[in-house]
Amino acid sequence: MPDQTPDNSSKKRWIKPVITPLRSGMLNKSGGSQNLSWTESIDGVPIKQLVEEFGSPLFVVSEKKLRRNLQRLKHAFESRYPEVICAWSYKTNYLGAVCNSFHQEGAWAEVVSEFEYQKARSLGVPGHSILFNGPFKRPAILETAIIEGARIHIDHLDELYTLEEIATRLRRRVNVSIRLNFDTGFTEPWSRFGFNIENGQARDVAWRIASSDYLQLTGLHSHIGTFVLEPRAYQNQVTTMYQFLTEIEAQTGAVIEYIDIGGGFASANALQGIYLPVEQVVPSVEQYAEAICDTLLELGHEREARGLKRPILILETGRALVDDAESLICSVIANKRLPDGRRAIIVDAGVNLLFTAFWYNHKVTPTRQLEGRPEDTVIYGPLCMNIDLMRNSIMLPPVNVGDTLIFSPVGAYNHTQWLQFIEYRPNVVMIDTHEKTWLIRQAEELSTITDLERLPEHLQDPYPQGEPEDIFNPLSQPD
Amino acid sequence: MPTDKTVTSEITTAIAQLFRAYSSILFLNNAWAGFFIALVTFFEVNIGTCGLISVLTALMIARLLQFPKIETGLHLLNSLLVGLALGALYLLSSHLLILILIASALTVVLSAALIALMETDRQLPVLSLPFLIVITVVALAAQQNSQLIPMDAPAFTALYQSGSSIIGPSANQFLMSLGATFFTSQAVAGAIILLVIAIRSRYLALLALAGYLAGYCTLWLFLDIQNYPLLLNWTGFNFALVAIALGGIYMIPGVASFITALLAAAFCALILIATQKLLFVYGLPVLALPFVVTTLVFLIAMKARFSIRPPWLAPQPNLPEINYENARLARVRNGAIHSVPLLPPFLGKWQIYQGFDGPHTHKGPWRHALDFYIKVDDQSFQNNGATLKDFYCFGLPVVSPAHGQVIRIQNSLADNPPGEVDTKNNWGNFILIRLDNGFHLLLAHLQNSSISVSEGARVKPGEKIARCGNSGRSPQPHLHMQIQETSALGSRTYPFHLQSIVKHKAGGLSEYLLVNIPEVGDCIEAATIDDKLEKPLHMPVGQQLTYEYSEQNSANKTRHTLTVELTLSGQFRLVSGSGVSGRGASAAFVEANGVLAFFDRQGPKDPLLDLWLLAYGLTPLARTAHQWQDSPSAQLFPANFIQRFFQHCFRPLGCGLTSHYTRNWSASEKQWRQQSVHQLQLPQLGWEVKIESLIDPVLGCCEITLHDNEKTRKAVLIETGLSSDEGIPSWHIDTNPHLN
Repeated sequence: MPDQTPDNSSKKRWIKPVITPLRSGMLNKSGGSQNLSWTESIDGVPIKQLVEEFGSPLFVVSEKKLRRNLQRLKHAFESRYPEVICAWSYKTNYLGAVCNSFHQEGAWAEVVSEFEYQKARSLGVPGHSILFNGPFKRPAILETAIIEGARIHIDHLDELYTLEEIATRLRRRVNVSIRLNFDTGFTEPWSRFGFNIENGQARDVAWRIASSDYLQLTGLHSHIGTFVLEPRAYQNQVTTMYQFLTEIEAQTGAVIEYIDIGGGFASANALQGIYLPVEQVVPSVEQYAEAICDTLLELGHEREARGLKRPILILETGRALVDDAESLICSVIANKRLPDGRRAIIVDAGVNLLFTAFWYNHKVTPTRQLEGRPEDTVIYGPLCMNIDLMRNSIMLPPVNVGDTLIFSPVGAYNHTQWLQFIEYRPNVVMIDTHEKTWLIRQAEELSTITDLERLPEHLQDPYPQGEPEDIFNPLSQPD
Repeated sequence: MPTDKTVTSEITTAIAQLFRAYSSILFLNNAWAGFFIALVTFFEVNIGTCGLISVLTALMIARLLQFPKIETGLHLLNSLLVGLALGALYLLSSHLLILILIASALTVVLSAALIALMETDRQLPVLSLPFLIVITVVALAAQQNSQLIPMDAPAFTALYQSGSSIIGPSANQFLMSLGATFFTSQAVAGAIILLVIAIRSRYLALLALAGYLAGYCTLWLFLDIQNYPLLLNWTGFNFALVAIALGGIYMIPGVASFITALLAAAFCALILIATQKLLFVYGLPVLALPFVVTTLVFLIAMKARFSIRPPWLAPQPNLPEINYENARLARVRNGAIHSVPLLPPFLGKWQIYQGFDGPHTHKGPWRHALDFYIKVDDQSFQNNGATLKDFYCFGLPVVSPAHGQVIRIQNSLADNPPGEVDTKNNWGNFILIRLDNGFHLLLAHLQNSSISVSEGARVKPGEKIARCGNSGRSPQPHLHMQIQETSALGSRTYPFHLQSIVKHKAGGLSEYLLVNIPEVGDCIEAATIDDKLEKPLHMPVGQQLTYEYSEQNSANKTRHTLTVELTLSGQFRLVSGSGVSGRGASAAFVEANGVLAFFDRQGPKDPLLDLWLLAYGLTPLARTAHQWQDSPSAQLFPANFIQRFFQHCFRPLGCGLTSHYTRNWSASEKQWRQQSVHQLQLPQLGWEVKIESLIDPVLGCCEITLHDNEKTRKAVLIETGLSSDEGIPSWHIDTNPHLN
């Protein structure tokens, strides 16, 4: 059912003819077109209507999906561990509407920079519900964070010294956490962040904090990587962190209130270079939850027997919460045949908008039933840049100029990493739980960019000596 | 060397003890009531004197021999009765005096023996059994003696009927027989006794009358009363006493216990007929024998009974008003009496698949059971539900809901595919736990090989013991929980309830419930304790909180200190005043399962303590508890005279308040704001007060304000500290907000 209006004309629809060489790959059962399904609407709103109203390209966020994802994550962990806090990782997607959808579902904010901290505060997140990570925190913002009661996760010793200086000056007791790094055996250790456990640095820092008059160690944080496909990595992570917790509690007398295991859960997106289908490779949040909570529950028995509370488990999940809640609608602007015989199409959204196209093979869904034979196709973006490649290879039937395609999932990292490279960034809309569409980020226009610019006095005019002549058509002067 | 002061206090104690003996014959246990009853015994000087001699003798012997449980006054009571009875039979003479002395001593010893035999081992009251045995022995012995001078009109045998008629012949007879409790057949004496009872407890007076009528009617049915005019006069009190003891003192007041009391009174009448027939042969009086036999028989029978249906025995014999209030509060806060409290057996939010008396399998002997599962958007599974993994609750941890010992497990049955059931192994994989209260807990339909505890292991609440599965008679994954009376698998179920849960409602609202039996469709979660509330509201022994208390109508501000004390029996009490034990008003409290609860308010009027108790009477320490309800004693209500009067008229047994609490974190003040509305349970009148209090995360309760129509009362924390102990110096922090 490609069109809403029935095609009553006697004319047949024009389908481009395709000449394809016979390739052996086509004969095997996995070859050919993998995905000929199409979709006409997102959350009940027709795509045609969206494009007419908001233009193309267009990012579409599903509020229902955002909420559903957080509910599912919370449920997966809360039904397996007594106390869990989910903190929304701002760097994944800090559009205000997205953040507030999560906050309304009970998420805290996890920020990694001054900008993100201020953004969370401006949205109305109280300081005590903000986790402040990251290797670069200016003294001024640290002071604000201390006063507002944010949970500061120390990344390096110099930060510790700054923090202590401020706390001493303010005569304020500050509860802090330290970020740990260590080898889980499954992931590449991210040793540039935090303090290393294996070489004893982390323990030294715990001692250092214990000897401070104003700092108090109450939390442990670590983040083992991104797009971690192996739940056992987390099992090892919590085990190591718990051992460290027990050790420093016994040695320094600190009472650790929470363990923050960071993020890194994979989303249902296909990483380039992984050839198995997403469904087989990416664990569900329940699988992560089971691995983590089972281990933590087991480890907590002994501590509970001593009359101490189990540490609170904090999650900083980003990608797995937001990725599949957003799609990018774009339009085909041209068809091409490449010298190697492959077909190429150009769409109006490129890597400037879909930064993640560099490492994902996004799912591409047509918005009408495409007829004709699928062919190996390259999808290029609109940028005047060779690397603007949206999909290197996809089996796609022929498409016409003006057809719309949907790239998904695109919720994670695109809005925080997109580029204003030669193009305006388009509208972002959100479909709420009642199928109502809201514009949540307006498309850029010239003034968006030029308003920030300042032209020195002598550079106000490009041609102070008068406009240059039209040397090709010297006679055609404007009337 | 004892000082004057200690001698005086010794004497006061002894006198109080003596008079309490008089009153405890009627279960009143109050020195003043005893004083008036003692006066009544002197209507017949001979009887009164003999009684007094006897009780004094007993007092001295009891103190000398130091038997255990002297303080109960049972030794004295029985000796008193022996003295009174002998005084009614014989004129006081030297012979009788010696007899009284011997008999009193004997009674004290016999009381001690029976207390050891009955009370210590079996928790059965001795009542006036020692008296009955001693008086039988003494009376039989005295019959052989010619030196004793019988009364002109031996009370139990002569046919005289003295005393003026007060209201009418029937009422007169009731009062006379009441007087006969103390061996006087004067209607006036009976009237005074009834008045004394009524002053202490209206309900007991009602029971006395009703019990008497029940016994009278039975007697009238089986006996030609005209032929035995004095039988009723001299023994009718048995009916009243039976009703008082069973209906008011030993059982919790209510319709069921009232009917039981009347039944017992009727039963008592039959025993009366029988015993008087038997004893008449030996010329012995019946006295209180029917009362003692009936009461003991009923109590023994009731003790063997353990049910959530009334009538219930009171945990401690007490005045009915007190029993009623304790039972009322216990029901409000701990669930139905004898219902087993459990915590949710899972983590996170779950729904109820089938409740008590469910439509599928929770029927007949298995009616008390709960099935839990998880639904999201009205569906218990995601994807297409074709495999067990699609079901939300499948594989989730199951935690122990109570303390106990695992006695049987089944771990090897396969999980059914969705939609299939295994009726051969009804319960599937299960864990059977013997709870510490003797009942058995069954958790069933668990996942194959998921049980992580072994038979014999001890489990504690919150410990992960298995996973939710789909084994046995289970068409979709769910968790079945029931309490059974025996350890036999699937034996008769017993009522239970969940404690400290948060019930989630549509629209993100949630209610904290201390006690609840969830129903189908309810979404519940265990309430987790919040450190930020637990720490400031924790009250260690010796803690002192000093408040500045003021009422709007008066300008003067007074300082009051509340101190936490630990009693000998291990009860924490919040005591008003400067911490002199037992002097100021006080209330007991417990802090358990994440709840701070106050009860048992005692002592004189104290507006500040009452204010505190209304503000914090029941305070859950869970962050998720934003609203909850309670029903504290109406005595805490700052009632004026009219309100108090109405309350006495409409709720003679006492009642609770309808109290609604709300609590929210106030971000601007950085404090918890706990508000409550307390309403007197009198229809249509709408008398209520509003209380607002602030909980500081460090200092605890720092301000309480009460508003009602008339005035505002306010208490502000000005000092907090800890009283000293040997080796631990005291400390105080000034928290006066006016200084800052």
